[in-house]
Amino acid sequence: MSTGTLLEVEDLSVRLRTARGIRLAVDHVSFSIGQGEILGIAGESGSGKTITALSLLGLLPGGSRTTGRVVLDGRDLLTLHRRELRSVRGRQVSMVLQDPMTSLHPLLRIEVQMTEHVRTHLAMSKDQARERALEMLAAVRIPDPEQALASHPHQFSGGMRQRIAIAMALACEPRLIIADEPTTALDVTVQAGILSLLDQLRRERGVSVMIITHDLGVLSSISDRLCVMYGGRIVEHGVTREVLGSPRHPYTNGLMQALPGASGTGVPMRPIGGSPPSLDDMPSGCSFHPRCDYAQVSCSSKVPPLRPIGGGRLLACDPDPLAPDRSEPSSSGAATSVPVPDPLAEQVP
Amino acid sequence: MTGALEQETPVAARVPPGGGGKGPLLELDDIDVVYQRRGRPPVQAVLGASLTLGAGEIVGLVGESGCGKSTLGRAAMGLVPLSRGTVRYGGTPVEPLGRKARPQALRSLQMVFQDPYASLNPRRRVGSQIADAVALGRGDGLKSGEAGPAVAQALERVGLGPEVARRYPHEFSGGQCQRIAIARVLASGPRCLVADEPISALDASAQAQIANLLASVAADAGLGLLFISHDLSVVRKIAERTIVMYLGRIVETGATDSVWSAPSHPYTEALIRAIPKPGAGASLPVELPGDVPDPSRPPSGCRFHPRCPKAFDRCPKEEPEMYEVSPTWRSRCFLAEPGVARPMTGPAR
Amino acid sequence: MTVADSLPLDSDAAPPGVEEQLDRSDRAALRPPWRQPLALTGGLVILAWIVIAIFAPLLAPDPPNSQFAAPLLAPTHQFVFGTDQLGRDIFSRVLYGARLSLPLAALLVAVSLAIGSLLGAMAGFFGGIVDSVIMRIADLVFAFPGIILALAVAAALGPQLRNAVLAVIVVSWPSYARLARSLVLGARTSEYVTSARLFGSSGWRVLRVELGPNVAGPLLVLATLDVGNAVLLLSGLSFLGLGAQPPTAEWGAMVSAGAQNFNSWWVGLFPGLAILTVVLAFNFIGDALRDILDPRTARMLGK
Repeated sequence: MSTGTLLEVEDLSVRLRTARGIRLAVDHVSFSIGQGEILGIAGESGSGKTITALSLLGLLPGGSRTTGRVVLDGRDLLTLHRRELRSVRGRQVSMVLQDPMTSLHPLLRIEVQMTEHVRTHLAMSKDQARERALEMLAAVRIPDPEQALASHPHQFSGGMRQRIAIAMALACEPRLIIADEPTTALDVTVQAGILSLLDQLRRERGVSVMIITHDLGVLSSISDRLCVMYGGRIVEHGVTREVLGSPRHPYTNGLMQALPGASGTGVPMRPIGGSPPSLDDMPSGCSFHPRCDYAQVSCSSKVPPLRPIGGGRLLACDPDPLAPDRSEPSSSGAATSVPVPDPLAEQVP
Repeated sequence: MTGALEQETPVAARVPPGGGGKGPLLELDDIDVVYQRRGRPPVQAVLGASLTLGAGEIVGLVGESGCGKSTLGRAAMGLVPLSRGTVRYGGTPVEPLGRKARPQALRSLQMVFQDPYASLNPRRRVGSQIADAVALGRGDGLKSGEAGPAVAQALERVGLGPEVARRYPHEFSGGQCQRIAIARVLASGPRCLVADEPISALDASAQAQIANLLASVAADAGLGLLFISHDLSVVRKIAERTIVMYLGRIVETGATDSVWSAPSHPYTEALIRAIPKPGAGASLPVELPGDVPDPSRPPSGCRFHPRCPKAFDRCPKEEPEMYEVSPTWRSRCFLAEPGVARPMTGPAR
Repeated sequence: MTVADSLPLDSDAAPPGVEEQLDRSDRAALRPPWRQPLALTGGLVILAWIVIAIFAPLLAPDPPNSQFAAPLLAPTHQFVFGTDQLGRDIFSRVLYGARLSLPLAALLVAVSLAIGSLLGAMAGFFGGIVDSVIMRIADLVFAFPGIILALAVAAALGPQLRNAVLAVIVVSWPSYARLARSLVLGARTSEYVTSARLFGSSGWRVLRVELGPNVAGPLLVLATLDVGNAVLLLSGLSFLGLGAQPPTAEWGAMVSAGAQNFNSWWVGLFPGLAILTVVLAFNFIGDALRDILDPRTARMLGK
């Protein structure tokens, strides 16, 4: 699926100025996205997942400092001048946000918004730009593209607006789409459509997608690989199927257990106790240790390094309580996975 | 259609003290809610909905946004005027809130809102807000200032310490805030709760915590709980009975287990298929094409037919009734009509 | 408005603290008062004026109305601000003027705040006919230029300081009423009000207990900003001869005397400066208060 690396993030750290001083919101995060790959970033609020995404494109508010390397096609985005960065943002990387209304202008017709965007970045004529806009709207399966161009954002439903926002993000043929909680505000039925749309775009156009969400269900259905973030650090990283099939980090495992789909009807969910930490009172050592069932004394003092555990997987947990038996190879894949009940599987119409 | 299907759930049998005898706690009888809009056609947000809720019973109400589920919940609380039908609580008609204080007989019917920050007064201490709920719920002249022990007790029931009482809502995370909101509702001595999307504004791990908390306090105190959510997979975990709404109509109602494992209405089936499955080897969720139609111009016949994969010539012409699938299970689909072959569901194991 | 429950389903995603924390105005509000130079200056100036008002008899070299010097003396060592056309010490008169302007302005603002916010809150909360009647009266007052209406009131009741105060109250309550009404209207449909009603709070109780604390902040800011305005309006009326009457030491009346003795710049300048500093100082404080009481920034300060 992936041929070559498109984006390489190395040692990315972000310091934010908060009300009570400078805080490390993203702590030495490294990952890469291949061409046509969908990378998932999972985490709760305050995990640093959104800050990571914003920092890639220099979209963080003033007073924040980003260090490390963000290499897109051999160019380090963090060293780019503001104007160059702006052209990267429009042209090669685009963003899809949770609330489509934040990226759509409420008073302008869709046509104006879409063609303007294309014309600035691709130097197209008005007619060409319109052609392109129609093509993109069709690609995101808007029923009547001609009519959609003449409409205003409020005339569409939430799902349609998100489709239009994606069409706009696609219009300049970006190599990478960063989608921050693209389906969180939508109904499951609509969410399914957006997810299959992203999957189709990646297959047909070779677009890479970085999808950020707290919903592991979403990630398990479309992402190829994923990073689980907690307290500004990546705690587990690997191929989605393996990470979610046999989670090794207690946090990933806890998230999986808390999912309503993880067990049968009437069996209560098993939530992780406590709340995610805020930037202002980040626990020492492994930031998950206060909520961790397996925490040992050393967890509160030493930050566990992100180390390879075989099979291309990375784990930041020193006790590693969920490791499969020593005799087994460590990349056991889906061996210990919870069987997911699919009630509709058996009934064939 | 209020009759048989709602009565005999096993939990409703053990009616706790104060459960009000054998009758249902909350009873909605054939209600319509119509929003009149100036210069535009009226919206039938809820049409001919009936439901009953017994003491100690948890009922889930699911559907996409715009299906009228929240309106139904608010109608049950007397927060929106009815155009037709009646709502009774413990035998007392639920009147819309006017200028006068809510009658004592209705004060044990309470509501948990979606956004805990919005439902708590941002400028009052948590403790004094809970104390108010205690005093008003008792209605025996107890002053808010004397409610300290009751406040601490309420906080303890939701797993929070008494020191919380001195602080303001914004000092807490969303999940903790929702706990506080639930503590406040419990402090007023409720017998019946309507929870309107109580978890959808919360973080991943807090969602499961709050859903479990609501289910367990309802079970412990023998409360009736109407749990409104767009997330069928959570409803499945905590509700004994599930009601599915589409475009103002109740389309399916039955025991959660049966509805989940062999949905008899195509819409319910679509909802279930759209849920992303977590875990290894997950496939893309199935999209339900199209949008929820404009509720002011509902489709003819069965309201779901334009999106229904199983629609046939009869569907656009006449509207189906609630047909009995089994004594406790009903579905508003011609395919469930007695005497009609039901090709899409196998025997409900 | 179409269907009540087409609410956004989730507002969870954005990390709540971070964006807010970085907002510039938030940071400004978070600085302790000594880091906000304008607020500090305003506070010090007002404090100084209050001290002056209280201790004027001790601080002033002469009684305000004694005429023992030559008229229109330029500022010297003996008369630091010079003397006016009747040979009175302007320095003393400016100090004594504070005893009049400050308490009157404060009283005036307090009364219009009380009347305006009560009427406005009632209009917003009860709506319907109550709302229409109150707000139409407010509109009526708004439709007149304030100073003209005050002129009319003062002219009708006679040129006296007391009548000038009444006149200013008549023109200034509607702005409080409008603000209070819009705040209450916004908060009335909020969920915390709904849930208070569900617990069994009566309408009045909701207005008092639930809405009061939420409405008070912005009203207080407006009131603070308005003290300066009130000083200005009162002085204006006195300047026009409709407020304080001679020989009362009042800033507006003194500026008016300055206008008649145009060649002696000091007669009008010093009382004018007094007005200027008071008005500016209250504006500074009001601005700082607004930052502090803003719910978004208060959220940060509450911790």
